[in-house]
Amino acid sequence: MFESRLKWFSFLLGLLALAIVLRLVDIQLLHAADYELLAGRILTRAPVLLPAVRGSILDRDGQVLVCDEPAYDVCVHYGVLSGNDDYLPAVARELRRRGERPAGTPLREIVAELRMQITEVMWPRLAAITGVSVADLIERGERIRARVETIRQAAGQPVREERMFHPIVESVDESALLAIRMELERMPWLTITPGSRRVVHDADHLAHLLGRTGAVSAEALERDPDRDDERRALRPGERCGVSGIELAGEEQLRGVRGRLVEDLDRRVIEHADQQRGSDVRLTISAELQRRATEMLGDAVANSIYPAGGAAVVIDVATREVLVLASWPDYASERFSSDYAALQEDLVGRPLLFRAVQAQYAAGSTCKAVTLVAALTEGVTTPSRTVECRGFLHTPDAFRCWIFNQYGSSHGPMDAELAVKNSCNIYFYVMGEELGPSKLCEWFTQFGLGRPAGTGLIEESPGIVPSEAWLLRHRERTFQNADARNFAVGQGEITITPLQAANVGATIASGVWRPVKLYDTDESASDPPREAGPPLPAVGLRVLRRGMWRVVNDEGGTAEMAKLATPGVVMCGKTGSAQASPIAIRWRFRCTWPGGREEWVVAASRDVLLAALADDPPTIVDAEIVERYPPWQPGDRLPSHAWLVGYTQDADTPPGDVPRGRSYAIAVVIEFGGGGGRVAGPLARRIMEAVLAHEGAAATSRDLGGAAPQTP
Amino acid sequence: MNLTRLAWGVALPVAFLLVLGMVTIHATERDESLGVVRPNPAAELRSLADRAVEWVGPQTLRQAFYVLTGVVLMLAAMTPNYQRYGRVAYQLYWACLLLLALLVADRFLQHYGVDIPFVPVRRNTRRWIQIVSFQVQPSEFVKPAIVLALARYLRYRRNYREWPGLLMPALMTLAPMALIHFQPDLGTLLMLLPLLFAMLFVAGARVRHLATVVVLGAVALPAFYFLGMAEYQKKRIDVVFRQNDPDESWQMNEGYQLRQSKIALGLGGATGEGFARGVFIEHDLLPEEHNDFIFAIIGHQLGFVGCVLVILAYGLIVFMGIEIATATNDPFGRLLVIGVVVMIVMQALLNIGMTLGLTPITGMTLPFVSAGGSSLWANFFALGLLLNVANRRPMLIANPPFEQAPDGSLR
Repeated sequence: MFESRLKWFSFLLGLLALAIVLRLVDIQLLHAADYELLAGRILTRAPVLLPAVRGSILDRDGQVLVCDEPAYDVCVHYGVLSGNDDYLPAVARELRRRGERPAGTPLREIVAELRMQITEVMWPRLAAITGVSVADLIERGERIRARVETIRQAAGQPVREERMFHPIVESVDESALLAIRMELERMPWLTITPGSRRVVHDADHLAHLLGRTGAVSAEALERDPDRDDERRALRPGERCGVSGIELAGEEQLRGVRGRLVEDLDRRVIEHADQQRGSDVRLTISAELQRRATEMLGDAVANSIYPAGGAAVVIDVATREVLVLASWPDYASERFSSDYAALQEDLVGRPLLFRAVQAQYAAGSTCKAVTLVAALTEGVTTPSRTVECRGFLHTPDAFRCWIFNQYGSSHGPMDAELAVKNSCNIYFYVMGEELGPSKLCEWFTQFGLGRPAGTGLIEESPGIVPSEAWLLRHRERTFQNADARNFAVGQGEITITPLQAANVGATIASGVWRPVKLYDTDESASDPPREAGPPLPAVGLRVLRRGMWRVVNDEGGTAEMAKLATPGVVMCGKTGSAQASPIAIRWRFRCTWPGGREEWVVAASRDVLLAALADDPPTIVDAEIVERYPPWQPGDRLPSHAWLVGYTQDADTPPGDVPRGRSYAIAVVIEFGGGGGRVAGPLARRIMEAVLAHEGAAATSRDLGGAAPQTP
Repeated sequence: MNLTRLAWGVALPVAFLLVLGMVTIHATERDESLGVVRPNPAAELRSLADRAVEWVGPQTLRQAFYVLTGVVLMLAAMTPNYQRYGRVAYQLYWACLLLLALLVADRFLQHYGVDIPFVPVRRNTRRWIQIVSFQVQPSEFVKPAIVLALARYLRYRRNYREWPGLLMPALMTLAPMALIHFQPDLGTLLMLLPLLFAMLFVAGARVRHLATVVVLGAVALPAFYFLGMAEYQKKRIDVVFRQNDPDESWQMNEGYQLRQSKIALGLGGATGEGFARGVFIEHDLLPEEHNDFIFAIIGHQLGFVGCVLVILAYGLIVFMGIEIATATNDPFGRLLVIGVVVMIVMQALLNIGMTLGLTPITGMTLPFVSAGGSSLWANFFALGLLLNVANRRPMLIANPPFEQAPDGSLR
């Protein structure tokens, strides 16, 4: 029986061996080709994506404002950052194996030496070269360690980050690179990886507009239109535009990554070159922007309550924005180094991109629109006169500005005179006769209440109230007083400086168009951008004649805006818009669970809650302690000084569409007071600078092109 | 050396496997660099010894050390009459159990803050006993110990032809299995069952009994999968069933090892890429290539022909083992030989099976071929026992053992 059992036993083993042989036949003989196919894939290295250079941002004249420059990241191996006990011995063993340390040296000795190199040489020298303190470097390392540890915990097993080099100092320049190469080359746990950094070249007063690049956020990934294209898509850990033109022009600026596939012997299987991003060419002139901003800064500084202001210049024909100045602004590098100070300045609010972002009461600028509406809707004729007694019905309400200032009145006003003198009474009557909803429709036709079309996310639409808007935000419907207020640009209606300048351009050309802020290589093939319907010529002719007189007639409200440039005149409309003082300090009545109750003074609700985050109170009451400008109930409200206008050749017949090159301008000075007195001279200075600059540019263009024509 | 013809019949295929293993380990080492440090011209100054070590390869040298010491161990195991091992079989068995218990104790004592110093923890397993930088894996030595103990227990009995008589051998096997379960080491644990069954089967236990247990076990397997298995153990079984899954992420993670192994074999084709040739040698593409998955590398270099030669070598060991068992009429010797053959061959079958995707991947070496320390020693010791039996002349006065008629009576 033993022998028969042994036979069965060997038979069973034979069966198992047969199964294995059959399987071998299957893999090695029958399906060898299939596995060869699979092998092709594993013999290929994972595709490497090569970063592309981001496009530059240029100004109107082709001057480079922002571009990518080569920079280098200093990376340290995780074994050193984590203080892992296995890493240094491994390095030591390898050094010994390679003969960089004598063969007999005990591992312990080499490790001690390496540890010394790290603490005594690497960190201090790295700090000295890069300017980041040792404590900072160590803290960065600690943050990386914490992050990797979290990943490891989540994975429940060792992860590849533990075998990687991590950037500890990003974007060092060539000289730092050289120093690190010289001094720290021999430390195997240190590597330098090439990359790039964004450099802003002397682009003064452009920080708001240019914006910034920053780390790719989850939301940016979400809305990335190229997220399915591995060569274009944003990737976590990289940088992309987060504000200003960097964001608006992201699609053009971002390049196309190169893609490299190699086999295990580093032979190239597939290679696509990286493509540099397209340049974005601004319509802004850096030179004009700088000069205009400086003039604006002077004007703000010289006003009674210096706070801020904005100035915008648009080429009427093309709607290219030449100047987009805001004051105060900040130098680009301060954004990262001095953010807290920028944010704490509640009066100047330097982070606010006033030219496109600030929404001001429109003031008398609106009167221009009201006039066109009234003339077109047939509620008045150019020759009809309205008597200005200094107030509408009673001296207590709806006064003219002249009554407030001098206690006098304008007397009988026809359309042109009403514009020239900016007579409130005339426009109260017009507004009343038009009614609020009709009036608001006309404001919309001039581009108010919607973005002007720059594509910047900073751009505000402003407010043109509708019945629905009033119900939602003010819990009321249109009233009679609204029509009077809106007609003179008071009340809920708000406007940005950019919109105001575009209103000027719209009056000059007779049609609303979106503004244009930058060109790209592709924009030549873009469909023409949508313009509004042509606006009624009759009303505009009267308005233009009035606006000419505002500046160029004896006694016009903006006499001080009269240009010194020969052959060119400015037409304009002043405004002094109601302004509310800014609350810069509050007192909050805070209660805590447990019944404690206290008054706490803070700059704002958010600041208070942030400061008391450990023990959050409930705020039951709040009052303003300090305002800017210092204002007590009963004082006359300070006003923002406005001027909106455009230029034309001096030989343009009165009321006609401007001849020659026409530029539209809007300036506003917060709490500046009277539009004519404060905004007028500023508008004149800026416009003269524009005309001089553009005239010179045109001349040089002519000289470079065809021979100049002699009359 | 004075070996009988039968003994040479076992020793020669083993020698073939040893040489093949060493040569393959050397081949896998030829192109390795750790890549931590940049090359340095000063490396020229290294001593001749250093360069020799580098050329041969540290793994190959290590293997040579274990083979040489293993041969000494084997010769030592051959020296005393194997009957003497019968006398100390239980003591050896208990000693092994004690070492296993030590590993288990470390796992439970850690809750009380006690740490046994010479039990290192790796990937949350406790399989080794470490003395300075030298370590042994007790579970490897449990296999020959169980073979000895079972052979001793079963040699003069016949009660295992009834149900109650099966209880003691089963307990003798289950006790170390339970201890190994806590290491944990599923591969070794499952290896012990075929050992028990094979020895009972050749000793003449009723097929009806054994088949009942096997069928019950097979029925219980799915329940074990869904209730008793840890997640990582389930994954290993999934790897076998999902080996042709088109899901790329599965193939790049859990399925990676098996897929690479099959590709290495497939590229080998009929005659292989040649010794120390082929992409799997040139690039580090197969984890554990010199160890558990060495068979795939052999198939990669030597192709189908090489694989079949390896299988034939194990086949020859089985064939000669059976001859040796038949030639002796000592019951202890017979069981001992069969136990050793099963121990070596089952492990080879399971190892090759996992390389081919026929059995789940468990940490099991290919006997005499894979790089190894404890496993090599344990196999050499077992081989020594087998050769010991082969070298003794059969006793003249004895009943042919285990030759009971189907009813259990002696012939």
